[in-house]
Amino acid sequence: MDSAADRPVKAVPLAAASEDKFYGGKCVSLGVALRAGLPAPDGYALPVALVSAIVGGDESAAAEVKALFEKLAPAMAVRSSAVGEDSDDASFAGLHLSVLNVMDADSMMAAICAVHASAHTAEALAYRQKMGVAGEPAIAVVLQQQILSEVAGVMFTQNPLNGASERYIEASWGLGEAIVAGLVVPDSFRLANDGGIIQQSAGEKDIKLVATADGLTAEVEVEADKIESLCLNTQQLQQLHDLAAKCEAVYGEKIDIEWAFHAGSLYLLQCRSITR
Amino acid sequence: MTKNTSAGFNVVLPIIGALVTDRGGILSHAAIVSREYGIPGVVATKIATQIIKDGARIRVNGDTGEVEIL
Repeated sequence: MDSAADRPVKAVPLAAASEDKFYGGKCVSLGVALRAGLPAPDGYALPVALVSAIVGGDESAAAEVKALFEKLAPAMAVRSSAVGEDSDDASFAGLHLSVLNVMDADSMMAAICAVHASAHTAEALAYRQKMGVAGEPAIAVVLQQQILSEVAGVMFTQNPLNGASERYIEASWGLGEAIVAGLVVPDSFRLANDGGIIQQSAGEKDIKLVATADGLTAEVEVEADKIESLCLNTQQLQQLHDLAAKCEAVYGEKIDIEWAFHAGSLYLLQCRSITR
Repeated sequence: MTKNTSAGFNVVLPIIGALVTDRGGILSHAAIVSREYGIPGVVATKIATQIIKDGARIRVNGDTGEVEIL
């Protein structure tokens, strides 16, 4: 057990987040990405003790974090980074809240509290019990520049159905959360390990999640001609293949990548080991 | 049988026998948790909630992606 004096209580740039027990898995994984030069959006890691202080009403801690908003303006994502989350056996898929497109400092502070609370809901506790995750949830927080993606999705470097070593990609219009939440039937693509296209199949993407001008997000209808047409072209698939190779060099094989395209650039939003 | 699942479903997952959704992909929440909980799951059927009546008996094969109304 660490003594209280050793625990970090200050926000640090994501690139400096290195210990899971203080910053949680997501912050540490993004820190690894940034140090390796992968195209992850920059941001800050708020350690568990700092998040607890803010939730507990510590005004000086809150003031310090509030000042970070200006550095990530105009829009940021506030995400959970639980200690012990995304272990090899449990994904915690969808349990811990992310608040997207946060556009002012007060909303950011509210989002930090909401992310903390999401780890203590009945659903989260039921899942922890089922997966045999012991102890109280310990939640750190990621503050990250928001990528306002035109197309986004997820990519596995192993086919989740049969375990084959290939790139399995799901993609949809707008923000990638539409796929994770199952709002759409995404397009799916399978690439061989040399990047060649094995299969591509159009989904039914009649809804997209977009950022709104006043902050947060909205579900909007997709133009009729885009619902069943592929949302990634050959060049974008090649960029994803290249990103997968770079991520594998850093994180190892069998990884799960969340990615986003904005204005022609590909961003890495998250990378972790595939759960069982 | 549902259009899609959210984390709220985690409370009932231990007591259901299978999961069938209209939407989502194999990397979405419904697919990931059915894999983790060891429950047969079929996602992205597009039409399950329209053609399978409440209370119907169905057989779900998560390996082949087949849902059979009995």
